[in-house]
Amino acid sequence: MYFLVLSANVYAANSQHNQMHALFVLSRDNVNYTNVVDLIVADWDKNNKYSIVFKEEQQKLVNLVDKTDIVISLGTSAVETVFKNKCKKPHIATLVTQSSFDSLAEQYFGSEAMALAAGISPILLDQPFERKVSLAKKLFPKASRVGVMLGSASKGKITTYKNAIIDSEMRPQILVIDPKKNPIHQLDPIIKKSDIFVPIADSHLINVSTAKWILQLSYRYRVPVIGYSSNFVDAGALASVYSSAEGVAKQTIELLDTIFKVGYIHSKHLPKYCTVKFNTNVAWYLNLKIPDDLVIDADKCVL
Amino acid sequence: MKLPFDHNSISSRLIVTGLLPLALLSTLMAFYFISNQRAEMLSNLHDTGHIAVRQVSQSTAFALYSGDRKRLDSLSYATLEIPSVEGIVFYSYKDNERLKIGSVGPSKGEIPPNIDISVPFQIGGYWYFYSEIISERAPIMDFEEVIEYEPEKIGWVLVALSDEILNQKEQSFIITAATVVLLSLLLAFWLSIRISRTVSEPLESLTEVVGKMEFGDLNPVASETGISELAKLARGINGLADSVRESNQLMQSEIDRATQELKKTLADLEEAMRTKDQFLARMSHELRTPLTAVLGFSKILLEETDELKRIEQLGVIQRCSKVLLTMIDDVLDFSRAERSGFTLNIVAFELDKLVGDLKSLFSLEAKKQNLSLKIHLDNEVPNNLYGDPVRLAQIISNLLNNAIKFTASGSVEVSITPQKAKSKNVALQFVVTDTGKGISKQKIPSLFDPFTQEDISINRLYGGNGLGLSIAKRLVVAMDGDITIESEVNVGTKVTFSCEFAENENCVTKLQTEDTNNQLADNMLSGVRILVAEDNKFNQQLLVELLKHHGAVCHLAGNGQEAINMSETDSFDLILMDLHMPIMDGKEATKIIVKNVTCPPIIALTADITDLVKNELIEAGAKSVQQKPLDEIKLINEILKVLDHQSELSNLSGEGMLSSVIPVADLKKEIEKNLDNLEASLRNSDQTALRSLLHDLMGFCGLYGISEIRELVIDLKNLEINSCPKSFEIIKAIRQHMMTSDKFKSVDPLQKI
Repeated sequence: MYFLVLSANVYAANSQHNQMHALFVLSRDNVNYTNVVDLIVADWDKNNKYSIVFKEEQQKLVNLVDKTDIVISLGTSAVETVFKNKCKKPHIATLVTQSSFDSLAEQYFGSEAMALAAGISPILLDQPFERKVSLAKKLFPKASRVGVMLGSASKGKITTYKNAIIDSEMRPQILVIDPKKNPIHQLDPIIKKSDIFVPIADSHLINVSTAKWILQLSYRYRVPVIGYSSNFVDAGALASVYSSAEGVAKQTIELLDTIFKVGYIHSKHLPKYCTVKFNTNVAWYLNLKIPDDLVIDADKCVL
Repeated sequence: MKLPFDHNSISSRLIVTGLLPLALLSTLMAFYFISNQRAEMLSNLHDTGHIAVRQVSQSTAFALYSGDRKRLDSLSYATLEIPSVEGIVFYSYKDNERLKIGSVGPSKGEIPPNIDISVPFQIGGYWYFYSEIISERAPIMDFEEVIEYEPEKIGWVLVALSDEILNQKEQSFIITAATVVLLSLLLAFWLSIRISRTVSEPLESLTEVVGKMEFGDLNPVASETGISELAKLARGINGLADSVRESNQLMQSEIDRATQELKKTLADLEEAMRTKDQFLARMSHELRTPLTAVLGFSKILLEETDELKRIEQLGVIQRCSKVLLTMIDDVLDFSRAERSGFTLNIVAFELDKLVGDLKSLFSLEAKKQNLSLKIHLDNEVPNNLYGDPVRLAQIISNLLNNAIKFTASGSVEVSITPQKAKSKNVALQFVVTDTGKGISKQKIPSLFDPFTQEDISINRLYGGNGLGLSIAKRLVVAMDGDITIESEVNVGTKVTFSCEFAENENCVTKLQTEDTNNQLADNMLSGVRILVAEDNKFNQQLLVELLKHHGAVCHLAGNGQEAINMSETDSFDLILMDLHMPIMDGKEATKIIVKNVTCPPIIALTADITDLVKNELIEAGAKSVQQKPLDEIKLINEILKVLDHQSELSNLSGEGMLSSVIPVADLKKEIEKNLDNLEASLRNSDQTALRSLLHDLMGFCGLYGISEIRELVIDLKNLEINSCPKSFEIIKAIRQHMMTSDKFKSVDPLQKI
């Protein structure tokens, strides 16, 4: 019944006014977030309207939410804010990782399925692991051992990761990091015996506490790292496959269009687009020649 | 090298003033630079320490975090390569253990608990630098939501740096600075000595020169080279020495000249003293000679019964008295001339009469010596002239007197000829020539000096006071003339003088007194009403008797005020006004009386002989002033002159004594009365009364010709009128004189003076 009402609201808005009023909820007043908003509204119909609130502006959010046709949250905190205020409007949750969304859905809706049923449409930030393995294979066709670091949030898909590696004819070296132990001591043996190391984005704590040592160990053992963000490449990873602002915006627009056209879709959305970034300095030190086609199509999801 | 140790010397002060600031400045600068250098080196050490500890903390974070001891050692030893870094101490929070690498580093418990290790601290000879070892947590996600990441503290590190190098450098710098300062001071000291010597040596040289000058040696010359200021000073000193030398020479010459002048003055003074002594002796002789005659003949006269002889003896006494009077007059004339010069009384006169009188006067003397006296008056000479005939006669008389005196035989001639005058005046030349003994040429220049005769023998032979020619010369000069003497021994003497006179072109015939009789007519003042203003009763009686004798009608006034009153209420032809009177003196009374246009002429009478008093009386309005002692003839002539009774003028030269009769007893009584009053005033120190009494007594004595007493009164007056014993002695002498004097003896045969 609830899903029928939601869809009816969206259609009503679209049919009556032929315009849409969107409410953007941002985790931070940061250029990375506002840039995504800008990219979204740039391709909009001129008749559409939108409002922006930040996670701290909860009263404003409450006041505006009834006047809007759809809520688009950007970032994990923004998603939580919207969840916390129990918005009755359709909600596209962007810039959120799989693990974070699962955690929040369980907290506020009981389960991921319940959240999806409540009209939440997440566009996940995590690029499919296969894309990273595919990139690694292309860069190092002779590599045989792929080290993978998992955290508590990502360890549930360990089999998926192993299979993906094996499917690429390589042997997985899986490390589930224990936050209570010295990460170096845990990372050192895995990285030391891997040809390529692919860390998986996990919780914020694990991501931050391990990234520096991953890069230092990779430097020490000359093991290339395929990261999960643009910042990772900047910090010293050889390459990253990640969701860029343009990709997220494009996918959001497409999702909005789909919702307005066909109605609400009760599913979570993996990143449709991906971006590949290389650190040429690291490549030079590793004596790696990056294939031209990868460089040319770096911003296209070709993997 | 001689060092100037005298701390007061210029060189010492120059050295001190040069070195002391330099030393102070050098020390301060050395201290400043050493401190600065040490601070800089310490700062560098700190920078090194900070850099080293920061580097170690950053580079070893991974090794410490991972517990990679080998890597930690490797990185630490690399740091130990940095100069001064002597040791490193690591501490891991995770392992809670301390790791010391290198030779130096505080072990556990060596760091005092009160030390703030976050800032560099020093223990022993080492500086310790502390730093936390932190694992930075950079954002790794692209859409990071966490704003700030808390950095993870892994542990800390202490890097120990030795300050030995710093101390060595500091020591080295101190040595260098001290050496530089010392060398600078030595150089400054050397320069100061050089400079001070360039100043002090010339100064010492100058001081030496000045010192020699101080002891009178003006010959050393100061060197004028070297420092310009000192050269200038040397020039000044040399100039001063020259000036002093010249001044000394000038002074010496002045002293020589003054000495010569002094010697000459001394000689002149001695000569003057000798002349004075000679004059006194001569005057004494000259005065004593006639006085002896007067005294001798007076004594004889008292005993002589023969009337003819008595008359003859009286004549001798009279002549001797005249000689005495002439002598005294000469001395007084000369004294007056010396004091204020001669005052000529310019009147109209006839030259031929004057010449005639002189010829008459000297013919008898010439005859006595069998000399021929000739007086030649040139026809071209104007006869009627204006001039002072008395003074002219005095000059000619002096010259004729000398000529006759010094001519034993031959002739004496007087020649009067005209000369060319400088103005409209008449210039006459008078030449007196004799055939006498003559005068040596050497003696001629001094003949016009007072009290000077050709030689001492002249006085003995011929007498005289030596004033004749001197007076004559002064008179000639007063008449705008000149006098010269030409003489040859045993041939004769020629005295030439010239005078200028004004010609009396409107000459009227003057009354001539051909008769040179000594007597005055008894009725010359017949009917003339005369007011006699005289306070002294005795003088009143004398004047009244005298004037009555000549026919005048006399009225008496006792003081000036009374005279004024009487002149206003009565009519008089003449007033005789005494100067000193009570109530109002003669001068004041004269001033008041002459204000009346119809007032009679006034003749003032005074014993004061000064010109000042005379001029004051004339200015007050008196027609003339008659000096006491009164000369009867002069007084009568003056009265006649004033009354314009010129026809009755007498040109006789009187005897100088009043011939009126006054009882001697009355005279003596009056004088004694005055003397009593004088003594009383002296005892009472009544100065006013003393002055008045002395004046009266002087006039009184003068009036009656009692010259001896008058001189004593003058002596008394000269004692400045006080009560000293001398005053009483003089009064006593006057009384004795009155007792012994013949004038006051009752047996006086004439009973008259």
